[in-house]
Amino acid sequence: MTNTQTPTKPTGVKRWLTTVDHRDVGRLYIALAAVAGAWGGLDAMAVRTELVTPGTGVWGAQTYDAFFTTHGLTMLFFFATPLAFGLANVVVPLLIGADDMSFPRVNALAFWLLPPALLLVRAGTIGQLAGISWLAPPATGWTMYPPMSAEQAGVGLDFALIGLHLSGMSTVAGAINLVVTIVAERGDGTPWHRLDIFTWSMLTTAGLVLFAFPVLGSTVVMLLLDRNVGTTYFAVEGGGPLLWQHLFWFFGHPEVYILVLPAMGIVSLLLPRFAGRKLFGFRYVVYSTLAIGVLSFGVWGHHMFATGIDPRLRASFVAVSLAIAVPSAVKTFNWIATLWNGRVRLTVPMLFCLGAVGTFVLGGVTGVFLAAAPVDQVLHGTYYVVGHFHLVLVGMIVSALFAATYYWFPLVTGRLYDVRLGRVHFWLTLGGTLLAFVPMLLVGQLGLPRRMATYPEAFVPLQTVATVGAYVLGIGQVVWLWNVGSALWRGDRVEAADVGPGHRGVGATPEWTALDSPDAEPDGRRGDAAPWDRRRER
Amino acid sequence: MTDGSDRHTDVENLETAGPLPEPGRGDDASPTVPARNPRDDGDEPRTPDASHFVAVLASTTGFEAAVWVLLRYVPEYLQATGVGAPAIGAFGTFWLAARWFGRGRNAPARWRVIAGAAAAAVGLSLWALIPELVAGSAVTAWLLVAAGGVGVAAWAHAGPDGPVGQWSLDDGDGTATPDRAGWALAALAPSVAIFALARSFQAGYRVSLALAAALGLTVAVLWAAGGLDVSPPGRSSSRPRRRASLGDVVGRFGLTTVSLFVVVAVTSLPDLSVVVLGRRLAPAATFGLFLAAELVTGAAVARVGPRVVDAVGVRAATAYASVAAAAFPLLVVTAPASPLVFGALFAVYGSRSLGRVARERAEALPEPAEALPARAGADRDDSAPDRRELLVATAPLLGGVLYAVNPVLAFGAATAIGAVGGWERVRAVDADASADR
Repeated sequence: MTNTQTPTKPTGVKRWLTTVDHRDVGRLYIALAAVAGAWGGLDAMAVRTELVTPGTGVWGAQTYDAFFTTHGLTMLFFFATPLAFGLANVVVPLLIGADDMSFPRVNALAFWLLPPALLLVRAGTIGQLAGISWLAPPATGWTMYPPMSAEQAGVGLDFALIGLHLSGMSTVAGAINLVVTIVAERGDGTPWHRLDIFTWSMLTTAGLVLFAFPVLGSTVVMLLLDRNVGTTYFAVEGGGPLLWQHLFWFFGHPEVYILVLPAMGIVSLLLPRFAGRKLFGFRYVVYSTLAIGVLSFGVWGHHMFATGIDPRLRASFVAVSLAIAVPSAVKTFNWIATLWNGRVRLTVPMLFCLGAVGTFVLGGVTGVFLAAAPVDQVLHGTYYVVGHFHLVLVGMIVSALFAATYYWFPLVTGRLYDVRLGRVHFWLTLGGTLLAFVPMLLVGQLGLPRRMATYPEAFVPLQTVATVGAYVLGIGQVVWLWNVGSALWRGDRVEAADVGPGHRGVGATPEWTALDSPDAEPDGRRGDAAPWDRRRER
Repeated sequence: MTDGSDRHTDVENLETAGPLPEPGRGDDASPTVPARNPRDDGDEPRTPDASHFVAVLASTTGFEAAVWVLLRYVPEYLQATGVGAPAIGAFGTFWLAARWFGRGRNAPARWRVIAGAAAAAVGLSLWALIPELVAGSAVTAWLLVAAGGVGVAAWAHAGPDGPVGQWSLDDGDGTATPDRAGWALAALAPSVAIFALARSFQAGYRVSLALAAALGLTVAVLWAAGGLDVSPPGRSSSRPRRRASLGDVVGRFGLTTVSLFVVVAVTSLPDLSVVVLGRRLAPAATFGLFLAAELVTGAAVARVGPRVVDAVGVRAATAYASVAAAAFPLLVVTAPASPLVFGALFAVYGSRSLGRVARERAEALPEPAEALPARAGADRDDSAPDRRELLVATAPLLGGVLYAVNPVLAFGAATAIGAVGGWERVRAVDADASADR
């Protein structure tokens, strides 16, 4: 006799500590990303605060170095990546008709590795606040180049390296789960040729993770050994400091695409919804995604043009770095063509998508210049690079991720958000992004080096504009937090069919059918059958 | 030649297969979408309006409070960058005049608030640039000071009359209601923290300027997205405006001559430094603590003031408030340089709002109709702006000139003028009492 009874889902704290439901795990990822984003954002505000004055007016050089280091580490490893994987956790199984991720427990494990990893990476900050002298935050920059990283005293950097290793394990575990889920768990109605563009993007992203993050994991272990055991992987008398750069950027540049591909997938998925049209050139958008995935492993050398690598090698990296702009441009033109003659509705997700495309053009084109080795020789290590990658990372990636959080907000939270605050959030984010990062392109072109707590007085006007822009950007995120918080606290509950024509009806993506599920809970959650039991029943 | 529909078809023909079933069809045409709530905003999820209202109210009032805090420190900053006291006083006069001409709009036009907030943000940003440009060109620096001042004054002119908006340099005895004090303390706290952390006053002030500028831009965006559809809670656009008495005007004139320069007098005394959590605070941060003491006392008086007035009587309360207000300027420049003494001095100064409480209690009492023409004090005028208050706006300019001659002269003159105002207030109370009898 078969037992058809399914265990009731726990409630309260126990639910969140023990859940293996993909949507709950996704929510946990998103919540952690919000916390990390706020923490890393505060670092950024501290960095910009120091730069209000040309001298060391507030923090001092060492503290400034620590702030920009922890800002980079926190934002890349604990904000952007977890947010993308959180969204994927929530919607990919629904989009492809799967009950859950292939390995729900591995999924939960992947998430639960992240909080301790974050604490380890930020342990130095906590130690500094607590006045623990031997626990200082890393002050090497997020790239942690030896010999500086090999020689920095204290265990703060060791903790950070262990934290990065843990976060890498988490990301790899999540990526394996995503790949297997997409390959093996698709429902009957989702053959490969009907796979949606976001899932294609996440599949490619997961593939990149599988090849990139193990390299990071190995590299940080080697650095740990150099620091603590006396090995010479990156010592001058051993492998040399440049070995670190090769290994780090073999991970590091694909990491950029690990971050941007989910964002591109989100824009490709959402833009047509609010343009009233199909995605123009769907097939070519998929091809460009795959092309980016492949090419991204052949461009790491462009971060090392200034290191004196062999000119022939440099030429090949120039060629591949220029080539990778082509699939990115394919996507951009397809997005623009999708909008052409469409019935564009400027909803909050659509505003963020349009902002993402616009700033991606600006950030992307400025990056193409850096792909040329002669230009990079001049601009390497200047604010131009900072402006370029922040226009992509914040202008494109963060905007697209926000578009997704608004689009799927009713699905994830079961509540409705305040539309006007969403629009305010968009304009503050877009305005703050442009105000903060376009001046960096200008001061970079004038030759101002990055990562310096002091700068000549001639740069004060543009630095002040950048700081005000950064503050605007920061306040914009407070508006987002307020919107989310007030919606969770007292926002209207989602009713079965009131989340709007951008989400449901003709052209709607299938994840919204979860709201129509017969066992849907009032807040939009699925019923109380634990996913492993649903799988067992099936 | 093709028309628009042909072009549309051409584009559709170029498209490849995608997940949407019908190219070119909007989602709105979906038969599965039910009728939507009429208060929905476009195609999106419904809007809980209170969230937006709270955000607008908090940011607008927070910005007002931030500007107020910055104004309390502005002479220290401008003096450090080489701007003289008369010019600082002229700025104060300009700012108060702008406030006077712009006051009384509880529900101002939205575009005016947007423009005012944006102009203030630009003005504050320009002020942040002054130190570097002073060295380069004196003309440029003066232009920046003036342009920044115009920007900040634009907010004073166009901003809504919120809880802090009415609060100005000419604060007289109307300083601290609990809501005003709360907002001011909220704005003061980060400034004190910044001044405590910063390695110089100038660096801390410039960070505060940049933060306030960003907040101003936020206010502009929030108002562009809707603003306040109704008057702030507790305020009404039809609320009658009390016309200031002669004593009020003279007293406020006295205080306003030096209210801008109090910060300079206090921060120039190095012995006033306070140690908090093992850290010796910078003078500017210490001054922030004194301001906090003033605000807290004022808020406390607003709470318990009516009972105190009932206990001691209107005349005694008015006399106390007048003395507390009038004596403050002279004591600032003559009192022993001790943190405790100055903390007490500011706390007592905050209690001057007992005078306003006394006046409100007196006005709340039933009064014979025939006594009204004889009243020497507060009379009501619902519509006409009180031109006497414009006189107060000239006080900072006078104070700046006097301060340039001798700071003690400026503060002494403020006390003398304030004493005259206080005497007139007490006399008006006596006159009212005799008229009532």
